[in-house]
Amino acid sequence: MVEVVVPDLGEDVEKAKISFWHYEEGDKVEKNDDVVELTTDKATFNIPAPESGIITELCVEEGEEVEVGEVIAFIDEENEELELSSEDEEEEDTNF
Amino acid sequence: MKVKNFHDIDYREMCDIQRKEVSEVISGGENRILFPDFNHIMTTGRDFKKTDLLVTDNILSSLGVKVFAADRGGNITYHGPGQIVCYPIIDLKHWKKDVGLFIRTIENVIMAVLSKLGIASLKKKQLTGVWVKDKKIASIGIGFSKWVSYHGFSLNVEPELYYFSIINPCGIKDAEYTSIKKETGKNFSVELLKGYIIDELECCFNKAAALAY
Repeated sequence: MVEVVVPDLGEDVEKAKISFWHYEEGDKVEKNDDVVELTTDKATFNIPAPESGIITELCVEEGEEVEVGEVIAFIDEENEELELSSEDEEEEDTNF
Repeated sequence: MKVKNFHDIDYREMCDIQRKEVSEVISGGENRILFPDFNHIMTTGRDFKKTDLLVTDNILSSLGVKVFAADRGGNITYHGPGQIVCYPIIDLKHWKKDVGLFIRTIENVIMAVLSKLGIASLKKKQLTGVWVKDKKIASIGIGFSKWVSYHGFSLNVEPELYYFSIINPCGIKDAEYTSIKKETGKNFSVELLKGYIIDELECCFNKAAALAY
């Protein structure tokens, strides 16, 4: 399981607000796709997915405040591998 | 830095172009500066509240003003003829990964340009933008994806300031706006001003400047 964490946005920024999630729980996400948009004073900031996988939990509601270092979502990268391997098997099946 | 001008462009079309430019910089392309010219529009950021738009849709319509939601920070602002809108698309991974410092640096860029014109301007704590005494002359609203900036700032050269009176610009009630023309009484060419902006942005966001932070 991989955590999505609010990164260090710089010296003046300790808190930010969740503008909106680009995905819902259960969605498949690719590594580096923007997962969530944060709003700070005068800026929006998109956090990319640290790994590919299935989003298992969004821990914070849209509109809520979050702090730097806070875990805001979880991605199951093993689930991604499982899903891929089952797709592979299906492909193999059709080859026979 | 690459520089691209877009004359009298539709706002949505410009957003599509901007997304493409941002993707290119994310993929390792050169930093760039986009200068779009818009006809009378209002754009709203993520902090927009409906109460900061002070007229009805019918009045906006009769003025020919369209309102667009933008994926940037901040509240509501006006763009139109007589304004320089500048989108610096900068990869902060090669500079300093600091959202606040980036915004303060953009303010410094605008202040340096105004100083060349003989205008003394200032920053205000908690009120992002650039001010001449108590009047705002430039507004800022930024977005970041993978530490690459998009959107940017607007600088009033000689716009019709009436349009700022029908909103609470940046969410500030009774905010007064000013322009380069109003402060100096002079007509400066937009191309000259864009040249000053490019020089300052290149100076502030080159690799040597990054090492200084």
